[in-house]
Amino acid sequence: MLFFVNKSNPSLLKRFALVGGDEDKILLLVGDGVSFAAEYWQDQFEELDVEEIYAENEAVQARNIAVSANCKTVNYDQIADLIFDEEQVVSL
Amino acid sequence: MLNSFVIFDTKPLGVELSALGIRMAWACHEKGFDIKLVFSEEGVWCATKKTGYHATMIQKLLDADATLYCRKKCLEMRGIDEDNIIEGIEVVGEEDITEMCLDAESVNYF
Amino acid sequence: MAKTLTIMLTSGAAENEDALVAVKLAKAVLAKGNKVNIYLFGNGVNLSKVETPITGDLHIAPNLVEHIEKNKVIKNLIELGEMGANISTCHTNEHARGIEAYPYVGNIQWGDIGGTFTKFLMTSDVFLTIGH
Repeated sequence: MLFFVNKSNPSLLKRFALVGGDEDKILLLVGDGVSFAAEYWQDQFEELDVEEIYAENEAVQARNIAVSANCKTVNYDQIADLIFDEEQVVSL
Repeated sequence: MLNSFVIFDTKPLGVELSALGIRMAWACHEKGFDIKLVFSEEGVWCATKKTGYHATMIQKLLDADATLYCRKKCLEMRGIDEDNIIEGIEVVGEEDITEMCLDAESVNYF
Repeated sequence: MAKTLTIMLTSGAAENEDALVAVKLAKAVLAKGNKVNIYLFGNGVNLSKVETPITGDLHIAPNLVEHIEKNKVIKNLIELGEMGANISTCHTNEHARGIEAYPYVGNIQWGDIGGTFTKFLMTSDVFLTIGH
């Protein structure tokens, strides 16, 4: 289940849990959503069964975020592939 | 091709997005898509009994056999009695919502 | 086989980066030979109109002008149309904003959620709502 995340609101974590339950989750972080790429969130993501995290590179650079080792930075070419890979896509 | 959607309406009455979510649900339901419209977070205020555009559109959806839900936990948090929800909207718990999301091809928040 | 992405964009000009995200993603998807539909909804309809710039001194600090201009997406929308994206608006949302009579930019077309948008969805593999 791919979550397309463009917001930085911490309450989004509750939406991950509500929508995805125990399913493995992939987070695709763009815009302000890249704030979730920071190390601070990673333990919580582990508890939420988040398996993969991708953060859009330009947004990361613009915000000078130290991206967690769990997270891969990607460009829009790569995002263009990612969005079609999953059977379910969630727009938060 | 996509056919099944869960639409979350999370904004209250005064925010345009709440009407946009309902409008998308109506348009898609009319065209035969499998739509579940869920009132959640601040959006539960849209599901209460009242007059106005939101209520009219919700009733149209219900009359056309669309499936509408209201998230129980969000009602409780706001002190909204279930009896105050438009009849025909099903009040559901977290697990029910998760289940419908897992079955849908696309989940979209308004 | 080409896949189709439909984006419903509900954020408009200047309020956040959603429009930038949408156009950059759309361009990347199109560049790979896929198809893109963009439905401008809510404040997104503000993006659909030809600009009417003022002449003379803007009375805006240069660094602010630079910040503003880099977040504008009009040229991107024109380019996307030329690349084959189908871009449509919700005319009722235009009406709500008093801009229905103004000309559309590029290939952007008048639309409605029950007609244009549902047609977009019928051929879509992925649907994203991008907004705040």
